[in-house]
Amino acid sequence: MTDTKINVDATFGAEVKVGDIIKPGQQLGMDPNAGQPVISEIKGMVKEIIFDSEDHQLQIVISR
Amino acid sequence: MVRNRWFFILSIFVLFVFVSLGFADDYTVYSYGDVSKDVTDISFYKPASDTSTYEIQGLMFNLKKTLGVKNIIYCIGDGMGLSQVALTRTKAVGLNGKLYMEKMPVTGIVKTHSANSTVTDSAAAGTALACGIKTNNGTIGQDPKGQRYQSILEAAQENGMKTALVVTCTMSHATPASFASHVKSRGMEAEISTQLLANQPNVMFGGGKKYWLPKSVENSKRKDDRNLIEEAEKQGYLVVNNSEELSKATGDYVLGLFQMEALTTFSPEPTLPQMTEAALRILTEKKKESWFKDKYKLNKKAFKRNKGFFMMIEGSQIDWACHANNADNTVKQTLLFDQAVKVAIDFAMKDKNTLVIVTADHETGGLVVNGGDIKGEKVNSKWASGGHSATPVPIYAFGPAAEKFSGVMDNTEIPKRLADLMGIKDFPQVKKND
Repeated sequence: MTDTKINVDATFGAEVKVGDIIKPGQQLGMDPNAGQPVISEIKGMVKEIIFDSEDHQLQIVISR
Repeated sequence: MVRNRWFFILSIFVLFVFVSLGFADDYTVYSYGDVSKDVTDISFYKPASDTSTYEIQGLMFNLKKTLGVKNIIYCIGDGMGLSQVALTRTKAVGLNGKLYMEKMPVTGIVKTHSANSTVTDSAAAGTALACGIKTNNGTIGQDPKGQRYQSILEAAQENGMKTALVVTCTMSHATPASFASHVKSRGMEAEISTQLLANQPNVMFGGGKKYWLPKSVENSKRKDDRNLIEEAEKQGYLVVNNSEELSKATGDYVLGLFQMEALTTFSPEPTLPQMTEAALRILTEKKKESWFKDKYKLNKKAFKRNKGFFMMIEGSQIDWACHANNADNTVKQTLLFDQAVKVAIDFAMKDKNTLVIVTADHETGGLVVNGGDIKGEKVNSKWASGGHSATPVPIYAFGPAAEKFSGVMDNTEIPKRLADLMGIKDFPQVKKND
């Protein structure tokens, strides 16, 4: 099992929740800088979502 | 008829005595207590002994139209929507109780959208609350085209008022940054810190030392060799590092950065109400001296210098607790903020020329209070997301001209109305030195 961490803008939240099974092409949230959707390129399960107050981002941890 | 008249006069007298005693009791029964490591421990919160005195005192201010606005205390609960207030109230004082902010006599509703999004972030909302303009999410103190706008704090400074920023986040985080810096991205915290120092608010209390120390210092986030804390000292700031130094701080300029990161909001670090109390003491110190000089030495110049103050207080970490969907910490952070609001209201009640505004930049988490037992001992809540929502936020006002903050308003209206009350013309306006 390997963990992949993907950051999304905390303002708009994450489009997924802990326990969700993610498929490639699925939207995870919004990009913190570009304002574009963040699309998952991997398959796996959302293990954890951590709020990073410093960068005001949500870190989505996907296990695969 | 005569008996009825005497009965009426006696009733008014009894009511007056009741209100006065109640007010005195409300004012004196107060202590901060310790903040433990447990976010579920809210024993530090001391609710008021009487639920009606603030409302009555506040209404009395509104009836006395002759009182002017000299000082402004602008309290912002980051991420604090009505559900956050309701959850906190139910947990802390029960279904029938009221938080201190809820005792303020004037209430309204604030719309929060930004220039490019239905859902704002704290940078765009902070810019709206500080500069009176809409901007894009992520932008601080300037419009979407990059034109910098003067903040209400900068306008107050120009008007000869003292200024203060008191927060629990890093000093350079989006909300405080919006009041004294102008950058295209909220992430530029090292640059924001440089601008904060250049702007010279009289008081700055919060966290985020790592953006003020040179790159040679471990965990510094600066890319240059500047030590802004040393520079601040050279500019005349008294630098304080802990609660003890804070309690003794005196002078025209005081800087307190109590952590490398944001504040922990745990003891022994100073709490938000303690920092608020210290800031008020420092901001009004000169006032007492001026009064003394004026009375005994007839120094009229000193009296003229006393033009009041503008202070922004932020309950920064309500937002963070809501992003983490942590109801217990949401309650704790909102109570710490409410205790700071109480300090502000107590000051305003004594001063009589101070307007206190409490509002939020946006709601976070899409929180819903959806049940619980009728005694208020158990509260059920649900979160719609880990992000912000477009739900309007409350505004509460206390003090002279509080009535100007009732009704439904856009967030950009708040600093415009504050500017008007401070006698500042042409607000919002482009920053002059650009």
